[in-house]
Amino acid sequence: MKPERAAKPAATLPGLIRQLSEAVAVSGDEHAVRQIVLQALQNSADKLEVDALGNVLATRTGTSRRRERVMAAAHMDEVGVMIVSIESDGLLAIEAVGGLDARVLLGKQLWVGRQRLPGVVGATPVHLLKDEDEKRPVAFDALRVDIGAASREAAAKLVQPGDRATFATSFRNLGGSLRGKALDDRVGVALLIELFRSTRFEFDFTAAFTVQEEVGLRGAQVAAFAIDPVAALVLEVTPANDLPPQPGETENVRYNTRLGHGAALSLADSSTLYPRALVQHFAAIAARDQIPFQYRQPGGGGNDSGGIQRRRSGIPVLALSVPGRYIHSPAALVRLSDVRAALQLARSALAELPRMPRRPSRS
Amino acid sequence: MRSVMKPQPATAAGALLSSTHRMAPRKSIDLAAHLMDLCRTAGLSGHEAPVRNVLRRAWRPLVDELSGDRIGSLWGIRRAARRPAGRILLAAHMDSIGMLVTRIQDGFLFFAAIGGIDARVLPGALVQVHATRAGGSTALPGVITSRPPHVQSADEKRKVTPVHHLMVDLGLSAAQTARSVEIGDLIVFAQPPLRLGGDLLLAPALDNRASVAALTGCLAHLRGQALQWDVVAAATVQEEEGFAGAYSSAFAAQPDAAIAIDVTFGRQPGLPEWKTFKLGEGPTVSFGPNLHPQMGAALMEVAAANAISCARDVMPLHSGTDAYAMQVSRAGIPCGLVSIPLRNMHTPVEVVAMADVEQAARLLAKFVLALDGKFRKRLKVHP
Repeated sequence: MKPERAAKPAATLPGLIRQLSEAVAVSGDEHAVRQIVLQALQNSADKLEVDALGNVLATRTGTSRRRERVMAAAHMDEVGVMIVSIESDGLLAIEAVGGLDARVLLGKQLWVGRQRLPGVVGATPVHLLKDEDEKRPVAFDALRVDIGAASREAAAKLVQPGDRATFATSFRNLGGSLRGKALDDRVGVALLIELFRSTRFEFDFTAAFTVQEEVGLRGAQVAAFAIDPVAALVLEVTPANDLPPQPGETENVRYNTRLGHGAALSLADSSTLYPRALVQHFAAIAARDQIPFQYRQPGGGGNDSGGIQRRRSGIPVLALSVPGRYIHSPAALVRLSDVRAALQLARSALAELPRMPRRPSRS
Repeated sequence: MRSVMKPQPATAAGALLSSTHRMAPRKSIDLAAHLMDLCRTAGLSGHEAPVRNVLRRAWRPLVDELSGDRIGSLWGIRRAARRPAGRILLAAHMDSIGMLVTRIQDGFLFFAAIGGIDARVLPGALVQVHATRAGGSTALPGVITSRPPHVQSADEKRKVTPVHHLMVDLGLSAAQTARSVEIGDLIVFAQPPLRLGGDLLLAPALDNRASVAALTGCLAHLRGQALQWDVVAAATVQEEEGFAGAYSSAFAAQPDAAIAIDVTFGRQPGLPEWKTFKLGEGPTVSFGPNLHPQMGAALMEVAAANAISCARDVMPLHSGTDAYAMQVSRAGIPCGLVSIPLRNMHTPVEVVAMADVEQAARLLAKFVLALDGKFRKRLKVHP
């Protein structure tokens, strides 16, 4: 199979997000995004490496003689599916990679494999559905992808079990909002690229573009071990559930985050309790510089912070997120003003990062 | 559908095992007898000492050094002939699932599961209780309670009896039981290892003693051979309860690459074909997020070069093996996974084909012999 060649990295932030969004990088096969990242950073990184799991670790030496290291992470992978078998009629059976709802796959177009073959997930015609099946959510083992192959032999020439597939969604700039697949976390990747290219901090700054966040925060764990930073920042896209109340509800109180209300600071989620000092520092900088920000409602979900926080003797970590509607579906939606707020806040707050408490000696 | 190559005649492995290598002539190893030994020996997760002792005796003549991590994993170490070009960790977990006495009431033993016990297979199962008060090594025979259909309500008949409703009956009086058994005593399936027709072997704990035996076979193949990489063969502890031995062994050994050896699902009715593999058609090599694509590719190449039949096993998420833990040790370790197909996993009647065990041993040995000065560089490339 021929690997796709990465195009020249785009110059504008929305352009970069478009390019990243349309790349296919399901957890465990992040090649396409890795190529874009490597190319985007080659001129600004003092050190650029790919580790054993495929994380990209890029370092810019700091201006101070204090050799402290700060890490920022964004994950390159996206949820998707893996082809697990080719059936005798040429259809492909699939399994989820990451937290993907089988119901959003029905009747959607996919890009299959590195060569981005077009495929569709079929659905039984509604006319032929049994009454009880109309109300029953579909399960993964009932889904098949049709790439138009007439037989197992024909399909086997194009794909093999283990190949990944994801939604075939072209990116759209809607004017003020951006819509595309895998904005979780390609927006974070774009932010980290921009932050890295545009800023030289006092401390040594290592950007970790991580793999396998969606299947257990795995890349971040080994990156944090290798980098061994005094503090870390995770750049993410977090769900915005800011829709009108459902019939019967008077108010939506579980919105998590809201589009257009600025960058979101995490306080607590199922993977991490965030250190108060870091949260307050970012909030203070945002208030002073009039950068719009909001708190993500404490609750479920998680991100690379959980993998970073518990490495070595413990690493203080904060998550700064862009709110995104409909993540883990064919098309997520973010507001460009939130994206810009996140970039500005990350840059300003990191530049004035207070000294981190000394870690215990390792003797 | 899968890239299954022509099956290798079963004799090829045997011939290789008994052939004489140039450095040290040696006796051949009877892998089936060794595996049956391992299956006869208790070694529940967290309580692996008995099986570790059997293994220590088997490995001593095959390695340069015996060592281990600090929580009970056993390491057999082979040193490279010259300055090592790298270090590989080969990990097969030696622990098995079982049960543990939680409460003694009126001579009956209530118990909890160690590892993923299937409650459906327990009623009526024959067990042995390793009774500490009766001298520690004494295994008392027992049977797990079941209620005859005659006395079950219609509702009960439709349900699986949960583990905490079941008991072990030793057939002893309440007083005798209280004198012999303590809370925390271990319970294992009493099913003895058995050769079935053809090449099949039946035993409890074949998950994962079959892979441990393959590791022994690999060390036997490597005996007397000059190596370019150091090899740490690890029989790890506590895989079935959260991979503890894989975490600690990978951290301590700091290998450049690691291979987990475990069992995968054998073909049997009612299971999807893609998840299952025919017994006797060779081991499998896995692909998925827990595994480094270059390790998978290199294992398949070695298999093809040595006419070892080998199928691709795809694992979209968690591999459920030691590879899951080893991969994220320290700054990350490229992992491969070789598996032996096994039917009836986590029941007292697990079944494997000996040819698959032997071919897995051969694949591992050929892979180790192919490791050279360039392989570490290859692992840096993420295709």
